[in-house]
Amino acid sequence: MDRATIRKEDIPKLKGEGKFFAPGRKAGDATAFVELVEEPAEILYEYGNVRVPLKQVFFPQTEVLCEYDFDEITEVPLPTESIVVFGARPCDTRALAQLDAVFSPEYKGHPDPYYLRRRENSVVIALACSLPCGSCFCTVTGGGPADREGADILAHELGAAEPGAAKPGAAGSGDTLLFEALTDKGRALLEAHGELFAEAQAGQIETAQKAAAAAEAKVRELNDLGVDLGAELDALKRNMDPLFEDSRWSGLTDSCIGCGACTYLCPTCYCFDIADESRLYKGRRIRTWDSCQFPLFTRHASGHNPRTNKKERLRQRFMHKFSYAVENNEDVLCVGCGRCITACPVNLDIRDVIRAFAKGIQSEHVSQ
Amino acid sequence: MSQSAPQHIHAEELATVEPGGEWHPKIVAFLCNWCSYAGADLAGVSRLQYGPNVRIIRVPCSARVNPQFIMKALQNGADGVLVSGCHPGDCHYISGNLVARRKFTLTKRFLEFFGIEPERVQFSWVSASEGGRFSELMNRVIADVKRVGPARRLVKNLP
Amino acid sequence: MDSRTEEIRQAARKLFAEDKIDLFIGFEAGTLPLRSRPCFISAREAGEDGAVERLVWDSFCANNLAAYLQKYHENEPNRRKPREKPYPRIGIAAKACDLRSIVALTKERQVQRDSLVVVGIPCRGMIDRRKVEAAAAAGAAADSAGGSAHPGPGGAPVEILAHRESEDGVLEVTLRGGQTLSWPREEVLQACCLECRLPAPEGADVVVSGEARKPGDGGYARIQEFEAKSLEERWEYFRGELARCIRCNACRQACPTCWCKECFAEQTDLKWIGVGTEPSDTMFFQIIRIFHQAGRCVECDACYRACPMGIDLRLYTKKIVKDVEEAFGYLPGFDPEAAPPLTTFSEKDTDSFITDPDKPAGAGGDGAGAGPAGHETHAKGH
Repeated sequence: MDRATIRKEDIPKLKGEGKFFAPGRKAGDATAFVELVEEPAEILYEYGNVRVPLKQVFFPQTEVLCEYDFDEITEVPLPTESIVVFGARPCDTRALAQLDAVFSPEYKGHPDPYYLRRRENSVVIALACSLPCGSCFCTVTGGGPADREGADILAHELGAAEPGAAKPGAAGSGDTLLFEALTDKGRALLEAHGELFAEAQAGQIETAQKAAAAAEAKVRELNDLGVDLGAELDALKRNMDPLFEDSRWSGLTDSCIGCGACTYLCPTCYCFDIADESRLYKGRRIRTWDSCQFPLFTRHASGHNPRTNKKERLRQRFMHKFSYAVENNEDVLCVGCGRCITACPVNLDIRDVIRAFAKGIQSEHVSQ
Repeated sequence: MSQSAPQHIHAEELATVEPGGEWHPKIVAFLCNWCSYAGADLAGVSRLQYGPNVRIIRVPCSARVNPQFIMKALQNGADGVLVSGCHPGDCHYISGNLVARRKFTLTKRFLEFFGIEPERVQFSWVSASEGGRFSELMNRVIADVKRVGPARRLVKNLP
Repeated sequence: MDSRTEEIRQAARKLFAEDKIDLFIGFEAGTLPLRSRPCFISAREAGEDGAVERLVWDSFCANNLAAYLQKYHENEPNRRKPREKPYPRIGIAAKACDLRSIVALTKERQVQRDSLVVVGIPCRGMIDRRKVEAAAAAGAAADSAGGSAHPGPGGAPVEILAHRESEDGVLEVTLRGGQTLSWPREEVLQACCLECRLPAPEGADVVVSGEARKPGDGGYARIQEFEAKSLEERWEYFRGELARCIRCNACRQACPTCWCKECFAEQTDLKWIGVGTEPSDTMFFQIIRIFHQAGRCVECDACYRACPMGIDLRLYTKKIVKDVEEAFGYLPGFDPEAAPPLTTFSEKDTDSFITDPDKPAGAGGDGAGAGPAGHETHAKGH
């Protein structure tokens, strides 16, 4: 079956043999995908978006690749357990699809086995947004609050309030979810746990669709940046690169303090570092997240650093997302989740960059 | 600004538990060359006994000791760290230990605030002629560290 | 908006008109509610319409702008010749804490004080965005009839769509759905502002009107309370807070006195710590980073604000500030002549941290500030 309903309290039962990840609160407003191990599991529903993005589950921040003892190298076996993730917003699952493309064998011939193995064994259940935030601009990048790319199942909260509703924080109300299977894996999960699901009623499907449409309209209303990047891939390929030398970059990047918060919290940023940590003859090789915003990111062994100032580094971030990724991968490497905006200590706003260059990006034949 | 490395601690030496035996603490001692190191040497020559648990690292002056050395020793599995220099007023470099004294005051209080047992990180002044004092000090530090047990809090477990 | 917004704009206009500065650093309105953000206006831009009008001053101008200054005063590494280009002349809107950071940087030769024009603003305190969000969530939960079926810890998400601060110091926010909530600003001020002992900028070149808030008490009581806890409790708290550190370095980058071109955490010729989120490494990083602020930290809470994971860094920054003050009688202030405490010494400095084998056995030395009173040092011959 492709559509079914399930009660919220039954969600943890979808765990299966392996690991189950769902949004949890680390402290205050710092949320992350946490592995649920206790019974009964406490899943957080009251969140706009999880602060530490979904990539953490498949591309952990610190990962041991191998251990060594003098000349003996022991590879850490690739993980085998299954992973079920629940509650990722469609922007995060769309980001996952972009990471899939980058880590896949087709991308320049270098598959990433650590990421791919986890992905193969996973089922990702996205949770559609009904209350988009002011900093969400998923529609600008080609996505939407009920986007279907990257997830195996798209869940909708039934009974969630409509955007603009008088009752704030009504996301999380209602105790039933509508599940839409989008892939074979999704369908298999629904079948494997058939006893938890009920057939979806036409009325429920309609409620979900209306909520999705209303949320999408809301996002478009909140964030009209003057350009629809998702529809302008060809224009980006043509017009973004010449903007490299544009004089506006300085003004846009002056206030950056060079921390890595934007890149670490970005669901599509994937740069990593590989380091050896040893104590004399024994040690291990680890992979960790790295950030193009760190000054040492591009320092060569000679000591030369081609990107010495923050304008160059921040420009690199935006060019990667809106130019190089489009050339390499036919997609804008941004899903409009807005985490970089809310996390930035100086409120640097990627939307300002998009707005500044919108005219330059747009296809010539589009009327202004 | 690069800093030269303290002499290596061999990994094998960090195994602090004898198979089937009792645990023996491993103490790393940073001793200033002119006073404390000489004092330790005098203790040795005088056959004054103190526990074999100490690994001595000679530094030119107690001021050379960076709090990061202490942290690194703890991270690498040392159960205790001692830093010892000349008595204030006697520093070979005139005022090294006087500046270090301020640094160590802060270090001692700060580490304990985080929850590192105060017995693990200790400081002292031992002069070149105080062989006896040095051996008493070492035995005292070893006893203190034995009392608080193996260090676990900052240890970084590498294979 | 604070009435002093226009004064700051006037000050900037005057400085540009008199060609006294090449750049003005202040604040402008942010792109999200409850945010104002750093704003850079160059002399060239200042002539354009609306440039200086970007400047605002309100209760959300919390960033420590001194963090930007060091970059403008950088020289090439290994430079032997004297610098040819003059330092850029920079006008900067500074609260008292920002100015104290500027003084600290001046002592460390990281900024040229005489190429700065400091526009000092007597500070009334800045509002804590996190406190407002928490208060809004609590307020909305109390008000909403029925509430959610699965209330999560921390309350349901509320989105603050707009804020307004009245002349008489009341902050009003509008939530999604139209509900408005308000609080007197004192209730939602940053903790560092409530505790601030030095809110009036002394030594500024231009002082904007208005009275600074009454000085607070420094907040050391919290440190004393924490020190009264057991060692295990303190360790558990620290470990728990640091478990969510993601090594993004926001704390370090936001801090005005973290200016090393190569941070100890990034050294590879001698590797102090690894790059990942291994707990031992994250804890080492925080302990040493904050220790390096001894005698320099002004408790602006930039680190605490910048942290995307909300780690309680301010407990530890306050500890190092308290220890420096108690041990050496020094608080980083406005006097550029006061020697930083770790660059000097006194014959009377305490030895209470020393382990003296002649004393009875027990915990070595000082402990958490309470210990045997400093005893006589062993001078030669005694």
